[in-house]
Amino acid sequence: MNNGLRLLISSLIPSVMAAAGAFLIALLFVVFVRQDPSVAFTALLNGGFVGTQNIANTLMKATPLILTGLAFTIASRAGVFNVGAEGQLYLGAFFSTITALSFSELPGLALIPISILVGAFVGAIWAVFPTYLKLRFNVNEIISTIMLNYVAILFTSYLVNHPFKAKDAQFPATEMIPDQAFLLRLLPPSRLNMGFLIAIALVILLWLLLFKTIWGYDFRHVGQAPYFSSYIGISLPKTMLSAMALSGAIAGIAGAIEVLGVHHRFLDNFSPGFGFTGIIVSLLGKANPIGDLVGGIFLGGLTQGALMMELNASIGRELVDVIKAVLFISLAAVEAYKPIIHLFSDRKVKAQDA
Amino acid sequence: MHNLAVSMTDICKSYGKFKANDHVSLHVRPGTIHCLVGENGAGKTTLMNILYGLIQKDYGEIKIFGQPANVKNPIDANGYGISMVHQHFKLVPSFTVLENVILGTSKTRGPLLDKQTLEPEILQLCNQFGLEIDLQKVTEDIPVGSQQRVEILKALYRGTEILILDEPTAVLTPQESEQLFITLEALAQSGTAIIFITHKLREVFRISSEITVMRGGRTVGTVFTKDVTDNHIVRMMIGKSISLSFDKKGFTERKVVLSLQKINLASSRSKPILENVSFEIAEGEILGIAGIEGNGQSELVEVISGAQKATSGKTILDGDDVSHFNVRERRNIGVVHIPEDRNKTGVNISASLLENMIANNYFMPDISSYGFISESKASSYTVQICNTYNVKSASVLAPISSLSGGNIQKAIVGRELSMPRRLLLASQPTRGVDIGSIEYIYSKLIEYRNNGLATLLVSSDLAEILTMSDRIAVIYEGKIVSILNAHETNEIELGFLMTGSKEN
Repeated sequence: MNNGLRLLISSLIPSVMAAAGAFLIALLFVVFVRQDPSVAFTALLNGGFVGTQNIANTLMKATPLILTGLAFTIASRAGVFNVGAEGQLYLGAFFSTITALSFSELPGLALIPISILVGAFVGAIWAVFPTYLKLRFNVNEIISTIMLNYVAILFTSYLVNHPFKAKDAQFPATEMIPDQAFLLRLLPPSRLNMGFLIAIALVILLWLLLFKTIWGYDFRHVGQAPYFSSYIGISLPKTMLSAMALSGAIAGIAGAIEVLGVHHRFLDNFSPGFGFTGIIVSLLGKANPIGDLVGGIFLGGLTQGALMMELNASIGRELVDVIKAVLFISLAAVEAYKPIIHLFSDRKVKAQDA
Repeated sequence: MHNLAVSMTDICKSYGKFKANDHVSLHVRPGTIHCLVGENGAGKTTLMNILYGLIQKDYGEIKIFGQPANVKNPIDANGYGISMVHQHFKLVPSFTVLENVILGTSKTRGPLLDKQTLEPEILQLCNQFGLEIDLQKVTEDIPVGSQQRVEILKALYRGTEILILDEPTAVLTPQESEQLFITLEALAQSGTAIIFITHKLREVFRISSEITVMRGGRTVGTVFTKDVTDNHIVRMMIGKSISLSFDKKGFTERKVVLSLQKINLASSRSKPILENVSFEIAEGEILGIAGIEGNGQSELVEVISGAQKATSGKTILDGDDVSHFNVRERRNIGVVHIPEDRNKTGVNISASLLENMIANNYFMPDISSYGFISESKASSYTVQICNTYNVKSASVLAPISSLSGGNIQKAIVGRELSMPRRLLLASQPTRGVDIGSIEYIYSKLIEYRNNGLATLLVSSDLAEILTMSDRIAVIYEGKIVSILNAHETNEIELGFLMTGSKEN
């Protein structure tokens, strides 16, 4: 146990160091614009984590981040990198909206699950497609999922600007979905809703899936040791396809929840990069669903706190984007540390041979 | 000119307790082709890596043209006029041949490469040594044989006086090999000392003027090629070996378990990897595959385990055609497998002992129900394997990387033999394992053989093949050249067959 605890702590060190480093660099920025850092950071943290409404808003903002974090986690565990959660989220959100609009005569108890499932299904398809390209034609999934984001975002943008634009809307948005499809608000006036509980449920389910089931065994071993996995007879293509399908489904659910729980209609460009922030969440959470929950709430809190900081300390909320960017760079650097060292020593040998 | 180009004396290099080089000496005269031969693990590559500065010697002296040399890295080696052509080429695939040749040399015009003046210089080298290469072609587009010529050209361009070639013909067709020999002879005539590592005795007698034989980290001796026969060299390579003996039960009825029928495996290169491989293994029989590594053994095992699909041919198991079965389907009907690469293939080195031990049955009712893996069942199953197969570990949840090599290997053997089994594929089952574990693994293999298990044993250790097998199939360049009864053959005969110097 003592050993287990030590291992856990040592595995968390990179995340904590990255967070501390990010705050330190943010501090330099604050000093640079001649503001009082203590005022800024107090406002930031109070705004995110103190007071019922602030906490409720933090959890509301954390919901899509937890989900996209889970999406990245589940795929990366199986050794595939889904950088396309953003696009999967947009498509999930859009088709979930259309479902809620098309079956408006259904009661909420049926309409809500159906709409969410449609979102999940569309997200899954959008993630399976690049995985198929990877397996069949050896197309790097990082590149293809990134590029498919633009396809999805611009396609839904077209749909909501033209064929599906609400008649009397001043801006690109669909009609409002029927009332019975709204997800219950938990602490009004905050827009925190049932979606957060769905996210928690998914955290638990995915944790069980990853660490307690035979499918999780397949995922983890394919990701960690592909040669071993095919030697014991796990099908790498099947495992990667199902991990990506699951990943895309979760990103689709994130989109559906944003519509059913927060906006109640599909809005053009509604996501401030949830899909990409999910990668940071997953890196922070060490590709563990529980870690994603913590990482999602942390980043949700920063986003919420940034609004308060802007109001109370007159420092732009973009400061939080700086923190996020530094976080991402340092976490990615830690992840990439070993391969880079290898690359370096490889190069050295090659250069010496030449 | 000094009368010795390379003089390595009393070279020692140990890895822990293992002595890779134990007072090895090698003397190479300029203008000669000197072959360095020996079995896998004899220490040839270690010695050459020391000469080329890739690894450091523990003890000994190196003189280059009579001067004491301190080769700390390949750049030093180049400074001494030493070049090495590796088995896997070190070329930039997307560069042209010319760019690869001049890479890293500093002949420039201002900040730019001076290709115009360099090209004629290089062309002249090509003509002088009969190297036919188009300098403008992109390296990855030219055949393997030409890529090797680029490596040699690179060495020439750098003014090489001592050229090391590590199994250069392994990737070449016979025609390409012959062309290489002509080039090497021309080079030797111009005064270059050439050290040529090979397993193939035919080549040794084709080109060398002197031969140094290594075995078990020591030099057995250096001889003039004209004074010896291939018989001589094989004896020097193999030496005498300790033989363990086991009680092998006889079987009256011969019941065939595995039957391979004309298995072919094509490759992207011109030479096929496996060519018309056919054999049978019966109940209670160990069939040994003898051969120098890289002659298709690994692929043969993959074809039988289901990891690779054969290009053509049939795999019959207990009378059923299983050619189209995947790995898991074959495992389910009793194919168990001890793989050659323990840490990469045999286990997930970053997982726990428990997770590695349930790899064959975590999805079966004895370990899991409704998709959930039962920790208590998995744990008692792991404990059972550890007890039966003598695996020592602090706990079942300990990372498998904390176990010694011997214990990991025993764990793999235990995991595989604990499953329902008809056919065991054992690849290098005792490689890098301590003596105690070797004996233990041998006794288990014999025990299961006597209980009727059919076993395919692939090993580069001839003593192991001879001790364990009932019959021995010799593989050379993807073909089974001969199948012999183990008690009717010996290491000398196998040595001839393995090196392709004679066909039965």
